[in-house]
Amino acid sequence: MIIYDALIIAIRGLFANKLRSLLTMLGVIIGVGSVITLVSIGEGVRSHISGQIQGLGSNMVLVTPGKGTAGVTATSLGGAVSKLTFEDALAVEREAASVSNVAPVIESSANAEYEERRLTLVSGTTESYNEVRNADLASGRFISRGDVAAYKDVVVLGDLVKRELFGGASPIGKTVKVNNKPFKVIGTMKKKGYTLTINNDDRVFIPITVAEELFDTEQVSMIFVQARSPETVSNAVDETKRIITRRHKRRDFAVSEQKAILNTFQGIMGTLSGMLGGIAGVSLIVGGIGIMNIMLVTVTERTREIGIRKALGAKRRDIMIQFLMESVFISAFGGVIGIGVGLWGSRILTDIVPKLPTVISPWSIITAFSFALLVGLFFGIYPATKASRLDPIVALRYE
Amino acid sequence: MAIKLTEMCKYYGRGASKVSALKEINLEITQGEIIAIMGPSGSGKSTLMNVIGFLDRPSAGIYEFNGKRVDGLNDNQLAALRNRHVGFVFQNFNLLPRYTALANVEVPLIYSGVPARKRHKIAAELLEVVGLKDRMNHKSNELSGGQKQRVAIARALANHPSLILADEPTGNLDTKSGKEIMKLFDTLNSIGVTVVLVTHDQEIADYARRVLYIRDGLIESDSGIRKQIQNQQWSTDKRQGKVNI
Ligand SMILES: Nc1ncnc2c1ncn2[C@@H]1O[C@H](COP(=O)(O)OP(=O)(O)OP(=O)(O)O)[C@@H](O)[C@H]1O
Ligand SMILES: [Mg+2]
Repeated sequence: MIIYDALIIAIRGLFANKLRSLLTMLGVIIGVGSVITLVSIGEGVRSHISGQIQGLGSNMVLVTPGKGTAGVTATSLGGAVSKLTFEDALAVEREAASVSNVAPVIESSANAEYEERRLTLVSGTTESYNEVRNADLASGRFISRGDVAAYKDVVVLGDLVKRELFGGASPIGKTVKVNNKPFKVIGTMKKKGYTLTINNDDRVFIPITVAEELFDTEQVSMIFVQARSPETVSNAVDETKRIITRRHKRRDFAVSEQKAILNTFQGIMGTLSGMLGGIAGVSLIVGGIGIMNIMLVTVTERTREIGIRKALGAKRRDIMIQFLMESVFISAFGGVIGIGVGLWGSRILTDIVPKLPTVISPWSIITAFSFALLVGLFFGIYPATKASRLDPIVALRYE
Repeated sequence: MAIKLTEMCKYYGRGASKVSALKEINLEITQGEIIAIMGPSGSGKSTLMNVIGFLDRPSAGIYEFNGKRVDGLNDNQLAALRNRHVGFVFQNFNLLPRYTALANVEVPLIYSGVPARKRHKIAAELLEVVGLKDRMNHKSNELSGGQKQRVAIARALANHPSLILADEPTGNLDTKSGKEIMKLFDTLNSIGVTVVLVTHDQEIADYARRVLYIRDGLIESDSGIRKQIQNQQWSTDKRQGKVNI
């Protein structure tokens, strides 16, 4: 018997019990749909975060106090006593041949005040910052080398701070108080959004030298080092390490490449997506058990039919294929609908929760569908075998 | 086509509940015969038909089909024999209820590997032969008893079997339809198909050229004694005082 005939017989069998077939399929539909939707959430978060890490700037090397490798979080944990200083940053800029720009940052939260008052993040930095971080100005100018050298009390406002304090009006030339100290506004930044947990628009920039005085500290929260080209990133890492170690006499800081940070996050998020997919995959197995259950019922119901077919010359294999086809057809058809549901689900999700980005990965569709097929095949084997082993005489006598 | 059963027995169950449906059956059937099997209910007629048609295995004894023993064959080999050589007409029709008459007749052809187009053609022709051309696309549960029986016969003929086994083919039919069915068997027999049928109706049995009486799993009498083996049977029966001519 050719597969085509078996398929036709199987489809007829399924259509004889439309509602039941549909309900059985539902298990597979939900399984495949949830695998695709959940993985799309994982993948969405992954690509979102990856984008943000890439948004740190190209060819970027990050120097942070402490020994941790995931340097981004070391300062936020606030654990290590910083040994990094503006001087270290200047030394790297001066001596490292493969480095094009160095931007040290002193970060602290402070109140910015015009007519309204707002608690925001103050970053003391140098003119290199917007070079290194791809931060563009909306109006005015950024902090200059002269501002840093001359301890000028000037401030560049992030987009959100500007809107909160000034609304639509231009703030350039106005005076904003930061921790009660008056600063002249010289520029505003374009809207940039989040980098990981930091809102780039809810911050203001002042010269690093002024920040040292304002917060009475020499501790630099982090130093952004930009290599001249992607090829020189590892040289830049080596040189930065060597120069700061020489100055500190020990390695009390961490140097990490953007690429390494990216890889770490990619890895974590990959695992997370996989776990989400795995959890959803369990529902596919449950769906498979549903298929097996229904197929066992079907085989019992159609015992007589099996007897008739056998009496007319059906071999074990013919009966086996017929029932396997039914279970595989349920899972395949359910899988196709499930793909549709999954795609729709992940779209709906972003519509409802815009902050939850979803990215459909073809990989998840292929895996979910093949897994569904396998589940249908696997859970179909037992009922089909049972059917194929029926004795024709016993089956014909079945009432 | 030649069938030879030697001391063939069929038991059901075991231990205290053991039933001997057939006890030491010796029987030879040759090409082109038309045989009626008669006997009281529970005497083993259907069991004998099932064994002859490779649906059931003998519990003991020898079954030779065309000179080859078939008692040792596996399920698939028996299925192939049924498919190629035997056409069953069951007492209760045994049609697939959700399928059309045409689709029912096609079933044996599916398992003999006939391609779809040819299947339709053969099945349609057979339904025409049994006079159901206009009922071809009716579901089998929309047909009358006589029509179902004719579909069952058409189905039995699908693979050009050399042997037709019909278990009370006219049991559910009025006399007129019964006679029509018997004429059909007669025609088939005239082109060389061996027909074995079970019946309770003496009038139907008269169509057959050989009548076999069965009681309690034993052949009580065999009318058509034309061969050596039957002579043996005859003498055995005579010895046992079973023959009543
Ligand atoms: N599967 C089975 N299990 C146990 N006993 C069986 C089985 N099949 C048949 N028998 C027994 O074997 C005997 C012969 O049965 P069979 O069906 O061959 O009778 P029959 O001559 O066809 O009767 P009827 O004319 O009523 O159809 C009966 O006593 C029956 O109870
Ligand atoms: Mg019977």
